[in-house]
Amino acid sequence: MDVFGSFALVLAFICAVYAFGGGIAAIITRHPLLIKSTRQAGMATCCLIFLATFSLEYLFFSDNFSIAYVVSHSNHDLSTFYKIAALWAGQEGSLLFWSFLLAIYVFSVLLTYRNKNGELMPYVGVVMAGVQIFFLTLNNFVASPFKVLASPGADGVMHYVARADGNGLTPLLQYPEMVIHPPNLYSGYTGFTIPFAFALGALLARYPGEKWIHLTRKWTMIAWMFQSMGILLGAHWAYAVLGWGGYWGWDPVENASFLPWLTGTAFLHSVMMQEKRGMMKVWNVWLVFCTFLLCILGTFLTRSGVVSSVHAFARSSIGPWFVSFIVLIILVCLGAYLKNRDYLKSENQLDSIVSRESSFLFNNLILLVSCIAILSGTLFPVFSEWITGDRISVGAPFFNKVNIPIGLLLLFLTGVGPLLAWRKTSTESLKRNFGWPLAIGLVAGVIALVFGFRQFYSWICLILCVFVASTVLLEFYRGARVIRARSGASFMASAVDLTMRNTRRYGGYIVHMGMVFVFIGLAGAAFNRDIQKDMRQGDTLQIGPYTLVLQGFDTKPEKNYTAQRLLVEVLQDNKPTMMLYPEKRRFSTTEENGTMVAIYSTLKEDLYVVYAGTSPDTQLPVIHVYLNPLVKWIWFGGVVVVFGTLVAMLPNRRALLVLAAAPQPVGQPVAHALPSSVTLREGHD
Amino acid sequence: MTKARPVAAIAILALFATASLLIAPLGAQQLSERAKQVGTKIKCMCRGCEMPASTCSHPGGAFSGMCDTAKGMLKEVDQHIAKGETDEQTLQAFVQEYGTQVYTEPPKSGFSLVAWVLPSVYLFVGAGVVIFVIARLRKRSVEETVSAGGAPGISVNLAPLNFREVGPKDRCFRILLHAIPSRAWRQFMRVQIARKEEESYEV
Repeated sequence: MDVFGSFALVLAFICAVYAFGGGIAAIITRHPLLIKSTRQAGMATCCLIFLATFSLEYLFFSDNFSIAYVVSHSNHDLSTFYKIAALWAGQEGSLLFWSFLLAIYVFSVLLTYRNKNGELMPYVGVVMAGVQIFFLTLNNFVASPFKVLASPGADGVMHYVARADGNGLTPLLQYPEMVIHPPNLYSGYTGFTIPFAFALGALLARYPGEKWIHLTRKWTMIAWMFQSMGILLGAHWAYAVLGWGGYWGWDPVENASFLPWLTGTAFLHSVMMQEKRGMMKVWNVWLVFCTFLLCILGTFLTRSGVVSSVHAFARSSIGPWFVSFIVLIILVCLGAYLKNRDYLKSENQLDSIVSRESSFLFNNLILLVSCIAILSGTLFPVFSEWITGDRISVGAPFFNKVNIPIGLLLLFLTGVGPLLAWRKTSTESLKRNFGWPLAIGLVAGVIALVFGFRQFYSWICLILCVFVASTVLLEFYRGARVIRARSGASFMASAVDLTMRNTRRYGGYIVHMGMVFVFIGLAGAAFNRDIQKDMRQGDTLQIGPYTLVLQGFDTKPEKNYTAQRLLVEVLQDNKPTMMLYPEKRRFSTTEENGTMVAIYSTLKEDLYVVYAGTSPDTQLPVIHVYLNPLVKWIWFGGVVVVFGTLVAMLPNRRALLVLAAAPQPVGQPVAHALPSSVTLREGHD
Repeated sequence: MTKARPVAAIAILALFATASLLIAPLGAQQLSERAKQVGTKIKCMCRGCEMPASTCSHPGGAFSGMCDTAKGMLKEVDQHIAKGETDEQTLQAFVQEYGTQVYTEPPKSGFSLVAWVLPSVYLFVGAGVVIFVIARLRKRSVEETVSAGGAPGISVNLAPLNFREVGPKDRCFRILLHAIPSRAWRQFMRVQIARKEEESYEV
């Protein structure tokens, strides 16, 4: 199977090279057969990558311990779940997995547009093949996952060596999120290749109009959604496994996944300017170029260990390859841009400062400032050491101080931007749209002050969250009221109908609402508390409204590890509420430890209990308890964001309203109940 | 001998009990609140993490209680405080010992100040660019409305460019023609160009 896999990879490489070179020839000669053949070569590349990936999975499932990669990331006792996940547990496998996910995207794109956009697709195919060649080079020649273990025998010839058992999977990775977090994040990273390929292809082809943006909108949203999910799942993983009570530590690798998300978000917003008004073409093209570059940089930072990080389980010397690839992409993008920049002329102009257009400009500004600030902060230790020779640390406090104000500014724009009209917004509509939300937000702020809310940033965040939530709800309310007046349906049904009629706009609002929930959760972090205590059996510990009683401990041998559990009873206001079982796991194969945090999570706060181990001083079990308010809102917000994105990807439903309005008496003008402002604004998104 | 055993056992137990009684409060009491406060500003130098000394606990490790290095550092802070030093002097003592990397965040002096200034620079430069773009776009818009006969707010939508006319073919060809310094190649390319030109006349 290993031979099969590596041959598939070599063939994939050859096919990709053909798709690339043949694609360029096809663009020059415009020979229809050549175009078709390169497209099919592209699809063949993808299928071969699928085969290679499946054969590596097969090697995991058949416990083939003569393969180096399988030996280092699996063992007999590893459960099926984690054998799937072991594919992306190490460097070689993750790079193959990158190729695999990219192949899924490329295959779908080639298949979807096989008979469409004939002028554009050869260019797109060439760009995609170029990216695939890079990763296949790594898969084949730099970090092959199919390396076998061999040792020289007595006759001087190398012989296969099969181990009896593998080293097992790193305990940190043995957690359910391991199975879904990396695939999500990687799907985000790879997904941005598609808008990149279309943007670069359209620029090279001087493809007319905004067609490429229409074509890539859904692909970009899919990538963005996966990226968002990946980041949040990563945060949840850190929260539930690492046991330090937090979910985001501004670790370089976390930052690296956050950067393309920021530029991707900026891109999703600013393409609307190009679609509606034909503006910002240069900017959009560069945004998508940068997003792709940051995806590659993110993969590079994760995999190379240039900056120290908790993700240090995946380090190696593939750095130079990535650096060369990044430089090459920059050169190609720059060349394409300089050659065809006249094609990117703006068609329309800005009419007013108080307009949707300028709010998008500021949205992009804030996102980009945040992105560059995080990037320069992450790389600052490297620069500082180069220039002054001093190693300095740029840790979480720095990033928090810099990004909290930026985030709040962004939250403010989330509320303001969508309600400004395109081109020009009158003072009248400003009052109508923002009067109530602003008032409600300020009232909430005053109430919070009265109740003794004294954290400045959290207070501002609270006001803004209320403000943004009210603007969004007000929009739904207004639209739904109009529909209800016409169709007579219930309010909820009207709101759903409204959403389905303009999925993009109202799906976007749902995403914004999800972001509000995430911000509510983040604001809670200012009130985190924690206590650490050595506990005897029967001892109690008090934190907030909770009393923890240590009832005892037990040891639970499992297939792959031995778990030491503490039995902790939780009393809330002196009423028995529940039992928590924080665990410490000892993995027999690797002699490593893992933590299982026990969390009692409510919308108000999380009670987060860690069994820290046995105190070296007193030989007693040490319990570390955190009380983290509002954390659940972050995960809930993430679900809402994903739901909103899915809604925004649905096609609009138009005919339904006409059907619903049909039973009205004949002769009555149908449109009379529809205020003009609503019909006018409908087409805006 | 047999009588002495329980006595010895009791003695040893008593010793352990007093010892644990002595040690337990020692570990918890010695670190003052102020030491913990200062401890948030210095990084634990155990080299296993990037955490401040007051919270370093090696999550996930064999023992994720307070790290020994961190304890040592906080005790050191307490000693400095006992000598009557200010927080700043205490921090300086640590910088003397470990270098600037002992700070959890870059110091606001010297080259590290750049790290703090940069985000604001980005924001101001970016805002400047946005305002410049808005101003320029507005000026152009006013000019065009005037030249278009004063019809307010109607901007001219350029017809989509004819793809065949400005297609990439000729450009690509010209670049590729000279890309490979070989006569045979140029010959081949010229034939291609001629064929293409014929085609485009047909269109």
